[in-house]
Amino acid sequence: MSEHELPDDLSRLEEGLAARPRPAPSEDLKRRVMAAVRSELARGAAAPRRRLSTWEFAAAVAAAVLFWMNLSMVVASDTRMDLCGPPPNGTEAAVAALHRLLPDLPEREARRQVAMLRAGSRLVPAPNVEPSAVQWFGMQGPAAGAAGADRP
Amino acid sequence: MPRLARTPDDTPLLAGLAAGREDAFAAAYDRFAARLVAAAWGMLGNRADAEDAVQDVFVSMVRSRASLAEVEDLGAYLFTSLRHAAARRWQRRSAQRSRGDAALAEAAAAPPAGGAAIERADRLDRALATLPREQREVVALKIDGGLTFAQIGAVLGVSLNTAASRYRYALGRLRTSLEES
Repeated sequence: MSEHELPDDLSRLEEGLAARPRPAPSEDLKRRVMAAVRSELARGAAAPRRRLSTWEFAAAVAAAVLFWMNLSMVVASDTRMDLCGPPPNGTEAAVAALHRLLPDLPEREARRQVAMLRAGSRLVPAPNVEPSAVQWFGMQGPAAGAAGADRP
Repeated sequence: MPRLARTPDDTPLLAGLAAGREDAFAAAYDRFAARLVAAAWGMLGNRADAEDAVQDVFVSMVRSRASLAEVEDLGAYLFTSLRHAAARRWQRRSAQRSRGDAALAEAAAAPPAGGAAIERADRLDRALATLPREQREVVALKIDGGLTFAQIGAVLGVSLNTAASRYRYALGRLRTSLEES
């Protein structure tokens, strides 16, 4: 007996089922079906509808979510909250405050930083370079090569 | 027993269906309608519902014709669609509905046969009506639709062996139901 072969009693039952009368399509079924087909063809003639598969739908949702996440992060990172606005006590008070923090900061640089703060820029820490070092590096140009070579 | 005639190459017909050619749909109807109606009747137990389900199959095929180019076995595709259409109609029906009187009417309208044959067919129909939908589907696909176990497996989304064992189990349940009646 093969794997799919039925025992005798089930085989007889199968024969009985196969022998029972079953209906043929009625006379007007083809007319009905073809009328429905024509109607659907006419309705979808301009743009036949195609349903998205499950994977296509999932991919579309994922793409939309990623797009909105990306967009929201771009917007958030480009939004200034103005939590550190311009100094409230005027330019002179801000310059004085900067001098208290950085006593060696030149007056001109302090005013420049305050002006930048007032303009809405962010304060960029700048190295406080010693004047002697500035002079030393300033003399390292091609024209001053000989003078610089004599310096220890 | 009717067998699902599978032509060597359905490509021209599928191309016509995908292109929305009316003659292709007519050809598909001529080739499959009898088996589809028989299988739907086996699932639903009612001729009117069976024919409506077959109409649903063709309307659904028109709507999804853009994807027909990817179909390899038109018969399996149509019977899969029929199974879904029948399931929708099955769910709409109340649990009270059985083949009962409808089966008698169908038997009366069937080709002439002996009284004993009608009585036996009626008993089988009543017993079939007691099967769960999944088991009735596999019996209808095999006996009324004439599908092979491989095709039934494709329609139900199960393996050939699972389809065969489900069929055997359904017949066993049917035999028990007949013995009890």
